[in-house]
Amino acid sequence: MQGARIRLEDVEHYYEQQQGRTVQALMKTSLAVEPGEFVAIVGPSGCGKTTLLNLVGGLLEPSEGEILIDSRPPRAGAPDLGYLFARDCLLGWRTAARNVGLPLEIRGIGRTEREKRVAAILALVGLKDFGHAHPAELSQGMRQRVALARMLVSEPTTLLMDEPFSALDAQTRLLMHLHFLSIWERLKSTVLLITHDLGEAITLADRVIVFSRSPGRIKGEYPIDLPRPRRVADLQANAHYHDLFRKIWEILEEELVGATDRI
Amino acid sequence: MTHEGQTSANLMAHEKMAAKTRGRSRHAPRQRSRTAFVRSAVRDRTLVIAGWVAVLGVVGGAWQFAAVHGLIDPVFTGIPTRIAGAFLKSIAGPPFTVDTVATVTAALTGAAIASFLGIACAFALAQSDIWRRIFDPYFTVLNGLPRVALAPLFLLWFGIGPMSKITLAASITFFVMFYNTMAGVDSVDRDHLLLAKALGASRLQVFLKFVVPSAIPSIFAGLQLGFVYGMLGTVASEMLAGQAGLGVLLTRQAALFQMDEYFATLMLLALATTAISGLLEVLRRRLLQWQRAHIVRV
Repeated sequence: MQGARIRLEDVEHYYEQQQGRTVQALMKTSLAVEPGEFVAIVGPSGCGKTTLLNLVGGLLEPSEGEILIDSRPPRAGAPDLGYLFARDCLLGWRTAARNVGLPLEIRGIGRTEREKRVAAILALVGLKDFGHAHPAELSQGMRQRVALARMLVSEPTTLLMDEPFSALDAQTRLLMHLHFLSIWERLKSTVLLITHDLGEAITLADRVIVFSRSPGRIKGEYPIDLPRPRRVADLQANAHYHDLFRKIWEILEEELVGATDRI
Repeated sequence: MTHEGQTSANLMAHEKMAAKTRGRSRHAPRQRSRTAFVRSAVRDRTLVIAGWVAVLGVVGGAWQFAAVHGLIDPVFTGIPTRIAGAFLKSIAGPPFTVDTVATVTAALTGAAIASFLGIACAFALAQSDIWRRIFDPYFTVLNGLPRVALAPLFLLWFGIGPMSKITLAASITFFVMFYNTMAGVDSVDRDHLLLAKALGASRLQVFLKFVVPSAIPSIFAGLQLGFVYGMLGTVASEMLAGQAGLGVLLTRQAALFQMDEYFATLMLLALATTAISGLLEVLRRRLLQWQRAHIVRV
């Protein structure tokens, strides 16, 4: 386990509420993600998956335990960390290109260098001709690709993705899977993906971790031994894909059924 | 074809198709009858302009008829044809070149000073919840005070020159700008702030790149409103006492029963305010073009 990119040791997290009450969001969790590994975390909504991601991203401090990224505690805004949210979070007053350049701007990278890197990354996500467009002029899928480009532009070695495709319609989501896989298979960055879509998790990841309902803890881990490069369309005809889906779904379903009691 | 090439080809095809569908759904019903559509748009516009003329004709005509035939007393109401004559004379003479200029200059100066101070105060107080809470009750009470009540005070302090009316205008515009800017600051998207944190933006960067741009639409709405209130303050001050200005003219003309001239001055006042507001609107549209794409699409 030496040399893990992301390592969590006995991490717990509580949220403080009014009158000094606390709510446990994350039970004692240990996890190691190897460099270049693609790990997906699935679980019912409100199970603490986002809390886990925010802890790894340094947006939250763990109440207990230790988190290390390349043997250092995480720091929000570290250039080797890329973040992608469910909502694209694009700034409406900036063009697509200037939205993509925002992380570089914040890090004080000069304009010429910035424009060069933005142009390259926009081409990578297939938006070469849309740099001048404002977010309001783009479709949902295009907007999320701008957000993807904004995450990739600072060339992070670790990608933290919080249900990044959940706001898209089914068809656009499949195309984003296809597109993201082709980019990732080239970059080979370490990915921690949070999702409630098991199909998405199996399609994309090397390993799927199932979270229990709140307070969250790891309920099971499943290596996804589907060959790469994966082709999203072919997976539907792949019997092993469906075996994996069925096996993990059985575990996940118990949690989902439990969770509906609370709705 | 490589896997990768296929991927982007698929994606491109999808985008193209999506763009086509979007385009079609927006234009299809119009394309079928494009000329009919254009024709009906032109017809609507002609109808609206004709409506404007008709409303003016009916109201002006009734007024003219009533005044000429003694249904109303022209000593108090003036006569529309004579008002039009007085208006043309006003435009050519000192009521425009001296008084309108004096009033608009004072209102713009007051509004500009107040806007600067109001925006600055709002941005400063937005930095600290404590300071904001300390000043909040004072601002609320001062904003509740009808500022026209301060006109005699400012006349005592600054005399009948432009200074007193500029101060009165500024005292009204300040709060409009302050509250509008504050609302703009509060309207910053929580998700944007999370992004700023994830990107490691400094406090100053968060302010300049996220908070200020978020507040711009609200600030612009404030500027337009603030100028109109600035005119109100200026004219109110002039009516009480002043050397030049449309307010001074109005008081004098009413006192001398020069009703035709009085209504002509009112027209000057309304037109001057509308003209400046129109300029601000053009500026706003230029600056906030990124919002309009949204409006068009929805």
